[in-house]
Amino acid sequence: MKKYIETLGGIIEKRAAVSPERARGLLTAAYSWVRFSGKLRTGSGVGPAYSRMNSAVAGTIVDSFRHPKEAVMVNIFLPCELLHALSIQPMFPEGIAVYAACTACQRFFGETAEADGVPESFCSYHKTMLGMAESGVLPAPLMIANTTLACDANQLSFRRLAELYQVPHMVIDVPHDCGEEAVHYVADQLRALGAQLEEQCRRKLNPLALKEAVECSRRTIEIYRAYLSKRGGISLPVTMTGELCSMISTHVMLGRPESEDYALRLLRAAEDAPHAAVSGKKRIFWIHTLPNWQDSLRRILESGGRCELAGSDMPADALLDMDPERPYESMARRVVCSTFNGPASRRVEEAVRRAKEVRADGVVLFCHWGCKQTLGLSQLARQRLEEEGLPTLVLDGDGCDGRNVADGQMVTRVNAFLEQLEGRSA
Amino acid sequence: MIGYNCKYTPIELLRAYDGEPVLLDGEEKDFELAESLTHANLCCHAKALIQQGTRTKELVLMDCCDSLRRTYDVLCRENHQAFLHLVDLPHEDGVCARERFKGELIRLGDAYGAYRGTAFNREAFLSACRESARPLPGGPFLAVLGARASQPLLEMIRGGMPLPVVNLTCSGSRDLEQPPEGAKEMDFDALMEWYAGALLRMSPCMRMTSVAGRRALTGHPRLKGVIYNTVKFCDFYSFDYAALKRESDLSILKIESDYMPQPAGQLATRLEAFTESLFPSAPDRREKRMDTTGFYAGIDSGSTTTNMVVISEKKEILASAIVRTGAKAQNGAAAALTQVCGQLNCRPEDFAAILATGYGRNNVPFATGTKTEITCHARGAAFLNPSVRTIVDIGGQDSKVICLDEDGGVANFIMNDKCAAGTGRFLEMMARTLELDMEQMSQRGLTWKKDLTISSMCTVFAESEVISLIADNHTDSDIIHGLNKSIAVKTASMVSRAKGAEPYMMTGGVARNQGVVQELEKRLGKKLFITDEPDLCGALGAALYALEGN
Repeated sequence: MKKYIETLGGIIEKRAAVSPERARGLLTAAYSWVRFSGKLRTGSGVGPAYSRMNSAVAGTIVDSFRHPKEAVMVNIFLPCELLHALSIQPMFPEGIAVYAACTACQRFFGETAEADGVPESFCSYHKTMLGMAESGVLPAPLMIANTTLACDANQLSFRRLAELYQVPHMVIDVPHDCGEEAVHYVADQLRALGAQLEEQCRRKLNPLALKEAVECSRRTIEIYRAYLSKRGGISLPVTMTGELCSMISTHVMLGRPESEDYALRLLRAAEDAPHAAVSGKKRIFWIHTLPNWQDSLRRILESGGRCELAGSDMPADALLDMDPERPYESMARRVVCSTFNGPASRRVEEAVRRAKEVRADGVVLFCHWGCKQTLGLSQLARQRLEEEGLPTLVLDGDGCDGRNVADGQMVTRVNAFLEQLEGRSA
Repeated sequence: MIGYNCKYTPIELLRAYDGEPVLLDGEEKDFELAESLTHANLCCHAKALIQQGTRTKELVLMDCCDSLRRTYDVLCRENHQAFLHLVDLPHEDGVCARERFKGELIRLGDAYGAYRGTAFNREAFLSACRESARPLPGGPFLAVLGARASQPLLEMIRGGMPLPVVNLTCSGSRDLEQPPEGAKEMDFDALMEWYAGALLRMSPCMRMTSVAGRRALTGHPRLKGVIYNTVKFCDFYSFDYAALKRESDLSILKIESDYMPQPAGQLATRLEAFTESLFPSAPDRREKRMDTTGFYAGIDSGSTTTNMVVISEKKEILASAIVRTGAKAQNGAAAALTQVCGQLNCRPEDFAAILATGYGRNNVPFATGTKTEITCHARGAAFLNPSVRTIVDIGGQDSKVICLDEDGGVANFIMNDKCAAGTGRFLEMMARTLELDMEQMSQRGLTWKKDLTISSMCTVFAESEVISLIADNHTDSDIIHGLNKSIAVKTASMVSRAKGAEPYMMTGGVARNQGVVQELEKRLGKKLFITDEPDLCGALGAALYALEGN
């Protein structure tokens, strides 16, 4: 299978250089297959849940490629219930870049962006998206909307894309304190975004549709929290792609029925799962995004038999109560009170709490290339987690760009870390 | 004193509470402490600030960027300061943002006043506001733009340029408007509201949502050129640089700094070449002349080889030499001179003029003048092939792309930074790993069978990738082809960034490597013009300048 994907990736890269529309057509065909095959997966367990969620994400990419004027480019932290209520597809860098990496064609887009002056040290997710846009593969969306949370890359790449595409661009400025004043400040900006979306897509935002989207978010969050509450006592074959699916289901896809269905399937899988003690595997809590394109790490973390991913911090940064009667304030609170907002201690203390809750044996803090937020807190987090008795590996890597990765070194480090954990229990 | 690092810092407010704000913009010898507390790939200014912060009693930081936010987190944890405060800076300058920022300013004032035991002094505040204006020079001037620049770097730039240099970087362009009439009588809340707005109305830095106001920085009619600084691992200003290059006709030199002492030679080369492109007829500083006898020489003192070319008054090439530079530039230069004297059967005194170029140009004792290798390469290339518009020069320690105008002058150039990826040194390191010499590297890369890709950008990562490929039993030829592709990608990317146009010429020792040449031609989609002696282009250009200047 890998060989076929690499061949396809090679063809897409060659096409992208001369005929971006054709490259887009190939990507659309490939992701349509992911959408179609994922929908067919039935049964219980986390596998079908991941396939179906993957199908939904692939669907957003396919639809946004086919009907770009019915899509809005967003960052992963922008609350998207407004889009869902208006039947607009979200396009987001993490999704697009990860799919490009898993289709073995990311390299071309990374190089294209760098040739256009994007710095090598820039976040690879955003760099890939810029390369896809600047090569003409990614079509111009209806508009662009992003929050300043959680990273500086948002301020740079979305502004550049708005200039390139000549489409309206709206930025939601997120203050760092999580008081009510900040919530109102953000809620007012979200109201303005709603008005802007109405104007751009020439449809009225139905308050009932928004309320239903927020109600769907509320239910999804409750179910997801119930799943997490069981996670500490059970063993599940969680994959890196699965954790990414969880992250997307609690962010840009939150408020859509596919996310609610996903959370329900995870909860049922958790209810049927064996007790944690049965597996005998080391339990890893993961901080930040996951490099699911990297076969070597997948072999260790998913099929190596020595460890299991017990959880990660990104899906649960803002699992807060939602009030459908106050949709804007509810969405704003999720951004303002995200553990990714404000001081590092907010995110680190939540990671400590979550790692303990899932009974992790160790923590991997993944320093995704170019993410200054995470790089900057890496030693603070390691110190704090180890104070709490949680051995921590600070692992440098890249969520989508193999050019920034020393694969052999990463494998050695992860294996050595597992040996360290096994040595502790012996 | 209270340390600060950002132009949005309300330094007038701090003065009103009897503080003495001092911009922290020093360099550090290394980042050992900062990297132990954070990560090696954090912005270099943030790493310097962490180290300086641990030595500073009072510190106020603005929430400028991800790196600065984490700097504050680290300093909080280290707990060295008696006063440490982070101000949440909005990304907008609308009414709501101003209101929020006003609240932040009042909170800072209250906290600092309580710490120092002082009250707000309105007269001191207004006087500080009035003093903040810094008029531009009356005549033509140059500007440093982009990311903040360390004080030693600014001094080096000012010392190397022929015009006054204004600091318009993100910590320097502090164009605060004057207080409104009646400010003496305004109530405190209204005064702070004006102040919050005035700070947010300054020329925006790149982290603000709207950056349209930045173009005012480069629109001044007396501005003759820009030295554009980016800081290693700060991404903001590469975006602004790319936009400025697209939109402006200004002469721009891009440099990258890292808050550590700069290699003086590399920066000096760039500044001199920039001056030469701004003022093509500027007199040579050394202005030393020998007696005219008819031999004119150029000597290119590079990191790996020293190359020399001798021409006649009719611009005929009479002799040339390529020798190893060795440990000292002057020894390599002496060896090259001995060789050409042997070829011409003449004495050093018989030369009318010898112009030195290259990194070691200032260490050639017998040179009568100097010019940078950028200008000399351009001159040599225009002489060899007047139609050439872009030179790709890959030498031992650096790679450059030089764009030429229709007259053969330097229109624009870019160079690699400290990283060795994409240079001759990179190939030498990989040759060592493969236990081959450079000639074998050049030949074996042509007979590849499997299309391998060396994906790592970093020389160190690439070396470990090569070792893995050797362990996987891949052939030398396939691995070398992968390395050649990697250099070609990096170089083609530089050509694209410099907006290089065809026809292309390649110079420097790496132009002898057929494998790299083939891959680069594939990437550029055009043939490269390469002379039989691609190493000699810079020396030839220098010889031409020696003749023309005599």
